Amino acid sequence: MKKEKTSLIVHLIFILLAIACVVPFFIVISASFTNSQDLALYGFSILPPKVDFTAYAYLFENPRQIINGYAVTIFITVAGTFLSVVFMAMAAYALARQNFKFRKLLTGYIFFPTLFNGGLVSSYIINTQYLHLTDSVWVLILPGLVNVFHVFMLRTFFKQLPDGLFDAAMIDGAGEWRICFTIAIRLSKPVLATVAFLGALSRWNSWYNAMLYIRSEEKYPLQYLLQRMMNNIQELLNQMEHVPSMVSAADIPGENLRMALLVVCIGPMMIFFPFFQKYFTKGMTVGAVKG
Amino acid sequence: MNMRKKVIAFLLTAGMLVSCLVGCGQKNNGGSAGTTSGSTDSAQQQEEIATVTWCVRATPEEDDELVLEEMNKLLEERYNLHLNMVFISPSDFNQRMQLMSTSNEDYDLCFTSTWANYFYDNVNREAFLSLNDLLESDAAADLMAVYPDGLEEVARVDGNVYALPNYQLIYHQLAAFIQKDLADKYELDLDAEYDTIVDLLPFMEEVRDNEKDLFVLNETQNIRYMTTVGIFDDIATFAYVYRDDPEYKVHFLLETPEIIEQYRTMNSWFHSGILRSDLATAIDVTADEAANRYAISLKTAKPGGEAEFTNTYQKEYVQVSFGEPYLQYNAGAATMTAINVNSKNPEAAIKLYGVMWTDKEIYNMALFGIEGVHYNKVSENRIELVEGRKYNKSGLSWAIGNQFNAYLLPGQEDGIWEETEELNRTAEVSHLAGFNFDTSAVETEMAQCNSVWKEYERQAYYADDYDVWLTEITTKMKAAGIDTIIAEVQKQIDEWRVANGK
Amino acid sequence: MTKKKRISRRVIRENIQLGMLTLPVVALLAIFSYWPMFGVILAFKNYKVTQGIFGSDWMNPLFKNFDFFLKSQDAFRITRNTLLLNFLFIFAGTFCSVAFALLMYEVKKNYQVKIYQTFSILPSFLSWVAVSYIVYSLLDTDKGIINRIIEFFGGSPVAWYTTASYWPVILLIVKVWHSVGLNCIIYYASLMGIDNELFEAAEVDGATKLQRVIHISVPQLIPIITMMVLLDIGQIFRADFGMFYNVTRNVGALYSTTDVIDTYVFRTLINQGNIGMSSAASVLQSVVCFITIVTANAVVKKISPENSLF
Repeated sequence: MKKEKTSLIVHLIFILLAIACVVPFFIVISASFTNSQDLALYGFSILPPKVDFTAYAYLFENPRQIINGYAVTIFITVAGTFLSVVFMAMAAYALARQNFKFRKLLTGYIFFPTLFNGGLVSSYIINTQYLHLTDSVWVLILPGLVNVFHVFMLRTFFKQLPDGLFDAAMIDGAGEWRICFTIAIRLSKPVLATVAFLGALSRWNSWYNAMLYIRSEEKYPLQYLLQRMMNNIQELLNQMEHVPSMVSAADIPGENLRMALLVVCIGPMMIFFPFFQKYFTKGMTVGAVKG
Repeated sequence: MNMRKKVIAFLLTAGMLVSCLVGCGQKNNGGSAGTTSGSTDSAQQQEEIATVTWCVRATPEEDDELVLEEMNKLLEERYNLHLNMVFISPSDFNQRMQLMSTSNEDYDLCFTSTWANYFYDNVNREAFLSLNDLLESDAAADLMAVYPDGLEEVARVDGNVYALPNYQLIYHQLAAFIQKDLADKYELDLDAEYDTIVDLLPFMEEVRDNEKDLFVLNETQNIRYMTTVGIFDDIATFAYVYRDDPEYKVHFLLETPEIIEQYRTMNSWFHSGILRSDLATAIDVTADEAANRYAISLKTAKPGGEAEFTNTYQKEYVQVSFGEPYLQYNAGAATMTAINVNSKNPEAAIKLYGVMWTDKEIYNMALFGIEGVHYNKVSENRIELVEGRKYNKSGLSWAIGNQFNAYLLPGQEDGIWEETEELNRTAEVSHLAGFNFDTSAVETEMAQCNSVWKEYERQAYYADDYDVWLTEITTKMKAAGIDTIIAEVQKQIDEWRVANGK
Repeated sequence: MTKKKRISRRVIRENIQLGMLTLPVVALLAIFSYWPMFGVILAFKNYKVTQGIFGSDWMNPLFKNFDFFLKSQDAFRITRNTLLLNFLFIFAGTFCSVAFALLMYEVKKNYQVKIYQTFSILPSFLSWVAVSYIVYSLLDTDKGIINRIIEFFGGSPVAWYTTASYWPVILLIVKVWHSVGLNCIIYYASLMGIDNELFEAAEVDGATKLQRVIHISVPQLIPIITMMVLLDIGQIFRADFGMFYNVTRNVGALYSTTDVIDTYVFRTLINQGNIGMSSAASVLQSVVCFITIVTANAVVKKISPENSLF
């Protein structure tokens, strides 16, 4: 393909967008390097008035919890995303096939749960009493494996693959499984990477099930620890209104500590991003394979 | 072909994983079933140790198990009890407790109150055991011997006591904590009597005009609190009864002149710069408190308060108290302990709760951990916490028993517990004491009024035109059904008066 | 005769194979989505722990748990805010994401694409709490960066956090800013599926850049856009609680334009913790979403049947 020069306006737009996205990020990072007194006095800014490491020193004074948190988060992200993408791609492939007789029925079946859910109480009863998932890392993985959005996204993508490809394979005597894994999935790396990335991001950020079901400290994902810290502040303020006992300043982490934990939480996910990105930009297209 | 094999192998592994998982789960279940049957047996065989599960609102820490193990040594040896204390982070407590009780999860004791793990909701759901008989039983004998007379009345609904208030400071009295150097600089007369915060206005104006770096007044403690103390009893937020009213007439709070004036003052203070200008968004002011940026903080008055304040914020503060201590009709309801309606062994549960009142050593271990590891004794009743300790539940003192049994920390003066207890005893008692409002008949109206209230209350401070605000909120509260609530409170009070001969 | 039989056997075999492919997803949904659906009855029960979910009495009247919302004077305001704001988010969000994806497709050097993508995705990593701090640092009346700029140019500072009329726009900007990078990737991935030969052929035919975008790129995106919009419409009566609660700092003065169903339910029930009422709210959301999605899908089906969801 002929190389074209990208117009300057396009670059300008993206540079502006990049600035709008990066600057707020710096605000958070700089806040984590400011001491809490300065934060109270001057508020958040792009550069810290003077660099201060107390927040990080405090976080890593006792790193066991953070290391455990990382381990759990990485495990649920990797295992969950892998299983989820494989299962969803299989289903999406079947739903995209015109010769599948239960296509309509199953589409409805998969879609319906996004509209109706039974609520927290019934899920909790099932997960704890019938599936015995209390305090198991699997409760952080299994319930979220199917994202209906992503199934439909994959289906839409598979539908766009030319039928001729499948017909040719069928004539060669390939079964549906083989077509699914050797043709459909192979040709869809950009969308699989997209779905995997979206799934990984939401798993990385998930904390709610950990709050409900996990009991032992060493099984808490990192994001839960962050969320707990943030929500505890709300609760302690609420408590101060009702109970005359003094809440000591040490019980409420300063804003710099909150921001530092936030940075610690998102850091690694940003390292993973380029790994997925490889597939976004590769331009692995149907046309390229066909030719 | 090769691919297909791989896929099959993968699916088999996945299947095995799932079955293994379920298997593990079942094993767990078997284990816990064993222990529960064990605890029911213990009712028959006195020698066996009974296990009590207690859900407490506190953030879990690294040394929890270590301390619990140590506590259990004493508990088993002295009382034949085994404590399984479940620490649930404050952020998760309401949700977790609600789910635990609706899904019949096993627990015996839990923290409840008018603000966390909401007591009346639990009572409506029949989640708590009625303690009427239990309090008469032998298991509760030790506890009742030391329990303050009639304190449990606050948790009586329809004749049944559903919880026991923990003991701490239970009266209401407001105080201003003032930075001492400022009080000296502007020659505030600290020996004078002040009735309300309004009396401090001249001082506050001087601070506002001359101390540009400081905020003048910290009023994060509920505003209604300021004048209502000692004038009204506040029922379910919105309904007020004058404390000297022999007719027990119930008023909507925004129809009492005192409250209307209170809010009006606050509004004018906002516009004149006594209150901080970003008040609408200043929710978490702890950083400002820690940086000593408030000249005056309004908090609950208490013995030794100034020493505690000074110690916490590392700057000298003085306390100016307003009015007299007053026991509201629901004094004590802010911190209570209840027993699960499905508890397997309520006798053991109440006995264990009693231990927290009677056994100072075990109670203090639950708060401060192990001596020499987490704290060091300075004198018989005074301790110092070890820097960097991995167990710090001192905030639990009011959540699991009688705070007046707690060791003293640096900053707490000798004798403050005795002094506080004395004030609890001598404070003027509300004429409504013993009354309890059952919200179940007006749940919908309560929900709607709460919603309107949360939308408008804070705006009283920063509304541009106070009278517009007042008309608006009053109209919306009426539309939300406030009159129904007031009428219901009145009806229940009238019934209660007849029943109790008041 | 025998040929026909063989075909039907093949059809059966194919369908069994395809059915097996969907099995994990079907099973997971059955366990984690369909099984808990019995919880819906809680919305109609006067729940007592001692009697259990099934044993508890039905509410009398049956829909009493819904009253706290349906009979509320704010019901209209909340419904309007939720639907309008979500509609705005879907519309503007999709437009911006597609536009950026198309623009990014014009960037031909891979490393440049990577740089722009990495930057634009940064906001998606920030939780709403973090975003709320950032917005606060911009909009705070005294210390806020924006007010300082306004003052620098001689204007008078604006009390952003107490003026409700600005907030639909502020929230829209924040929402788009937060999600555009991520959504852009989805559309970009879809564009990567276009056969390059098509563009080359169009270029040979002398098509302008704009023509190529309109006639090749956009049609390629239509199915995925339709699907994304339909799925979003299926959630139109559910609001992003984290955003509405944190970014507005839960300031009461802003409720007239920012109060949505999720924040209303949270605020209303936090003190009471009534399970029946919170279940009722969730049932109500499901019903509204159900109606909107079925309507939207029917419309799509009329226009282009192959793009409808079901």
